[in-house]
Amino acid sequence: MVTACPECESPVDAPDTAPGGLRLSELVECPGCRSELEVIALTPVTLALAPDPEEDWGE
Amino acid sequence: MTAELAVLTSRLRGDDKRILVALERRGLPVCHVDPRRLALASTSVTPWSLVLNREISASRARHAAHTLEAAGATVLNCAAATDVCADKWLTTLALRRDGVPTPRTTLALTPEAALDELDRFGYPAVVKPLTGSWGRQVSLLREPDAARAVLEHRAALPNPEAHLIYLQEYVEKPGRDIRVVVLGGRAVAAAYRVSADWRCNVALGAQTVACPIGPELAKVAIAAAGAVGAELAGVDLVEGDGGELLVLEVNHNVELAGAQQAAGDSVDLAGSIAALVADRYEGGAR
Repeated sequence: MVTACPECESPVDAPDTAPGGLRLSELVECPGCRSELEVIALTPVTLALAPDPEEDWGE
Repeated sequence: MTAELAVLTSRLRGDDKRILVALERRGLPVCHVDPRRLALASTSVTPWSLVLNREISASRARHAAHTLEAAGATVLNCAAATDVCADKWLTTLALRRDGVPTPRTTLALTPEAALDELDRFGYPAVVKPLTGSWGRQVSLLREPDAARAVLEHRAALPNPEAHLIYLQEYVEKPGRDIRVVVLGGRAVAAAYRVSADWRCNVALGAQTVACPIGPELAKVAIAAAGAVGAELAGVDLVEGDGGELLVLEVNHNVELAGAQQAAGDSVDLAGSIAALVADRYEGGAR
């Protein structure tokens, strides 16, 4: 499934044929602007900019 | 099939997806749960008997773990281990209690106390935030002027926790540190993290190279994971001047990419985590 990057509108391939299929909350990188995108809906596939890292994020 | 097993994460990273898929391939009743959409009353009964906690936010990870345990779930890692790992000072205390070697470390309760203490503690010293990963906000203080600048900045930050100053002896390392992945009391993979920077975090561009797991490395890493009570752990170590191993920290939500890249096909870390979770589930955590 090809959809548009919400940041730069480049086409982003979010393949639901990838191993395990496409999932909600999955992260995808825009090949155009390298933005980190999050899958926020599956039908149709909708991408949003992933949240910026917060202070308490980590391993 | 009711999903009795949950993988809790707000960001489904490649590692998390591989773990989820590996659990599904085992035929286990597993689902992905996004904690950003989760609200649990204190009286809740958990819908899941076993939860793999992969949440990236330490605050959400800790409170979800406590709430789900109170509701009757088994959580990996347990809430107590998550609490300790999420706080570098609590980690240091746990390592010291169990005699696990670590660099000399001091907690100053204000930036001013830290500046005074540094005269005794000595330079170079490393200042780290109590919470956080990936080398962020970690500073190397080589002399008092740098210390004054960094500590003034910390004092100006609004978060009171930023005013607690974790000071650690700087260990001159051979251009690398070591990450060991410990699962269920076994050291399953290790990688040198090689960097020209004094910080060797993969997030900062360090390259990973396979590291043999000798008996001493395995012993120290397993002891560190045990000290914090973590069944799944990423243990970070440095080699001191004499080659002695010193534990820097223990990560409760271990990222796998660097260690997996270094290990190649010799181990499947996502699959190993799925196997550990499956063992716990089939062993009665339901």
